[in-house]
Amino acid sequence: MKDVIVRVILIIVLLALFVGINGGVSDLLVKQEGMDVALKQGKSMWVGLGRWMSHINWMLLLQKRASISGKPEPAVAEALHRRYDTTTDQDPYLVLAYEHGGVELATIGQPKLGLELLDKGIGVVGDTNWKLPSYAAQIVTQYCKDDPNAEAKAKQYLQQAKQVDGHPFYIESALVRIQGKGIQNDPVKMAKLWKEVGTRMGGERGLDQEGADGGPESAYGEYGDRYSKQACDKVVNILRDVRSAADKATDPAEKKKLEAQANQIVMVIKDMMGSQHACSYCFAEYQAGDKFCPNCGRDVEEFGVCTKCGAVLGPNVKFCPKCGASAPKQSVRKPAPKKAPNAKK
Amino acid sequence: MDDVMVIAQNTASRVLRMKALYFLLAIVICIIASGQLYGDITVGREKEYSLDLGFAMTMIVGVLCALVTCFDLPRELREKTMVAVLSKPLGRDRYLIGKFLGVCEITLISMAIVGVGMLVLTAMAGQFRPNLEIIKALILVYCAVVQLAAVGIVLGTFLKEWLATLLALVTFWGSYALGYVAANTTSTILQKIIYLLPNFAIMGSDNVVARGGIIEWRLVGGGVLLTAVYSLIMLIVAGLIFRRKDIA
Repeated sequence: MKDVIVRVILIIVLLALFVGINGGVSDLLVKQEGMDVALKQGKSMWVGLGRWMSHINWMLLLQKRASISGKPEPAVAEALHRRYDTTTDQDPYLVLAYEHGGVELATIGQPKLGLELLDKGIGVVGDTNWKLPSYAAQIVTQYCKDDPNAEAKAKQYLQQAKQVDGHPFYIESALVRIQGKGIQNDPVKMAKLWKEVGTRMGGERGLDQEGADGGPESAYGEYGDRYSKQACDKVVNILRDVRSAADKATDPAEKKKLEAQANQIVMVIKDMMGSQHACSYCFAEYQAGDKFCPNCGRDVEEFGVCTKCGAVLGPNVKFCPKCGASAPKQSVRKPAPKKAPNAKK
Repeated sequence: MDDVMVIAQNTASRVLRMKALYFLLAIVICIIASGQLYGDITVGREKEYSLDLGFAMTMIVGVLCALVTCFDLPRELREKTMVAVLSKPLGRDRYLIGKFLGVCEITLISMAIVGVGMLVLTAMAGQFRPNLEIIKALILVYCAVVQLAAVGIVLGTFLKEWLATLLALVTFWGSYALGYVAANTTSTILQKIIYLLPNFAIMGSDNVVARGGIIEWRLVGGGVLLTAVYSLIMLIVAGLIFRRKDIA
């Protein structure tokens, strides 16, 4: 009897020890990179065979997909979705299945199922993968036009994609297109939106190419700079449209309103251009030594002229080639930005 | 200690004499080798496929070997072989420890054969170079299998073969499932209750290797310690049950 009691006590002590170790090991497992989501979202019924089973299902899926031609019956599409669902249950990190499945289900007439699958993937790898939310946004935009919340959903997905490092520049442009839909009739808001995009695409430097100490380069490399420039052109076009409308307006109140809007847009453009040399009226760029705007003929602030002898200085000039005097700082152009490592072609 | 080792050796030898084991190992190695043939069918997953297949097969072999504990004890009881063994000056506890160690040995041998086969085959196909992470994952799979063998020892002392095997598999599945519940629950009490069960989730660490991750040594150490403590608890429980068993 004494022996039994000793053993029972020993079991209790060891169990207490075991619970402690088990808790510690479980915590380590959850924190282990690559295990956390598997632990939280993986379906337990696969007892360690999940990844292998997912391979089998993946191969069966590929066969099934190959046998489908055209738009299948809804039942077939649903069966396909179930298999994608099971495959991603078995291996929650199988990004290929989310990507292929989401797009495929949408294109065969089941956008909701496609979105369901993509949402599942976003829940698992959404913080590192921009493709899944981007695909989801495309599906919502293209296939869910009847949904009154489609734009809001697409915007949400694109914003999610934008949060992921390494996302391509077209995520930003897609987001602008969606954001712009609701404010198309307000030129000032549109101008501000394009300014925001231009600044974001071109880095802190925005469109300011002048000055030896510019801000950091665009995160999108040459595409970012180009897009940033395009954003500025868009705002200039908005200004032209507003001015044109103001010129044509016969109602004085309407004319006054449009002029006020034009003034606000001018401020936006000035912010965007910084110290870049552009006509203060039409914002066309002009060259060193120009006294009049090449676009509208108005007087412009002359730059790049030697203060000693009056010779016109070219770009990147530090000293006047005629008299040797130091060139004004404004005439020193910043070298062309280097291509960022993550720039997408 | 020698008598324990003799029992362990006898248990291992008896399993090693089973032709089914060699057949199983040969089939498993062939299946792993066939993984190389899938190539393009997996569309971008061929490398991972071979490794996951290898891990899955190693685990299946390990589990099958561990389940030997579930039917070996009841069979010896039924065939009265145990009577002859226990009539010698050998404690019942020692007998159980010997059985357990024998099964651990045979499980280790079988898993080592399949594991080495997997490493060689994937390396030959240029898919995965043998690395320490694979070894760590295999150690954790082995730890989980040993825990299952310990469960089997307890169940084998008072249940029939089929029932003990079935219950061991249910425990295996249930503990695995509850491991996920423990990771998600906010209830400390529920978590502690779940932590009383064996931890089979450690064998899921092959996910980390397949994704190119690194398994922490702390986790490997924890897994080994956990298995040792759990096995000890199960052996004491089995001893308590077995000593009351009438085997005459």
